[in-house]
Amino acid sequence: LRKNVEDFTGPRERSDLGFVTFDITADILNGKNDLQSIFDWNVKQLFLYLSAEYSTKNNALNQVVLWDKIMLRGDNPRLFLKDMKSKYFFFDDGNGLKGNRNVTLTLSWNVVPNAGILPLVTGSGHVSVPFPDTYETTKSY
Amino acid sequence: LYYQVLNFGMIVSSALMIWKGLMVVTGSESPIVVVLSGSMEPAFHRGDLLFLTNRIEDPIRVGEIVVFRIEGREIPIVHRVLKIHEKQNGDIKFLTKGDNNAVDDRGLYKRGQHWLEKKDVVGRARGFVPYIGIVTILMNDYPKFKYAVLFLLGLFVLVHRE
Repeated sequence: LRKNVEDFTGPRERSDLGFVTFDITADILNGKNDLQSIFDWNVKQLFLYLSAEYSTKNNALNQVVLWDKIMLRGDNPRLFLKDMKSKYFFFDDGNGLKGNRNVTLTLSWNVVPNAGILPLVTGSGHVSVPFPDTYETTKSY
Repeated sequence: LYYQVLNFGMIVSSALMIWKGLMVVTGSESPIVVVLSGSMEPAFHRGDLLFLTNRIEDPIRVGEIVVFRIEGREIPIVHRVLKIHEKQNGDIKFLTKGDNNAVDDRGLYKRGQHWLEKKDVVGRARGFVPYIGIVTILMNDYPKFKYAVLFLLGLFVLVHRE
């Protein structure tokens, strides 16, 4: 599973709004370390989500889901997403995105069984996205 | 007859003890809830039963399925956490959204309320069993059904010879 990104920030009213584009690749390997292997007899679906985690002056911990996808049992377990825009607005609670060098993107998933426990699993590997020190006002998104 | 009344009392108080015990162990005032709407499909459907915990040590993180109440409203809502902003001292505000809804829950919150807080949370969904909760929904929607069930239960206890 790999991710690459680009980013810019824009002030909206009083809070920073971040724009991130990303790629997600999840291919089928030999039955280990791929999404296919998570689907056992009791797994109904996977709820995948890409979240950004960072700290700001205002808040010690911020987590924002940028994108999510429901993958049902039987769906194609490969993901080849390129140049994806975030599905949800990446607003900070304040102006903590500007100049923030330590925004980490992680891919996680919620395993939904036919019946039983609902675990949340975080994929290993994460990508750090540094936000620039200035605001962009002209870029169209 | 005296014996049967005692027997019945035993059953009721055991059930109560188990329920209260569950409340303590899970930390939630409502450790088992029934899913009432289709807003979390295809993961959960109306009638599914959810098992919750609400331990303070478990921090609220994105992706988790939380059951919460909006201030002033009785009905608990089961949705997923979309955003959190947590302060150094542990104060947290978060936003939720139903998997099957196009937009986040801001429209559902109280007028002027933009975030949920720990106090609004009934619990975190840790496990679930499908379909079983349909009985509760039926009992709510069709009171006659509820009376029939209660009547049959009462009959069963009276008639059952131990």
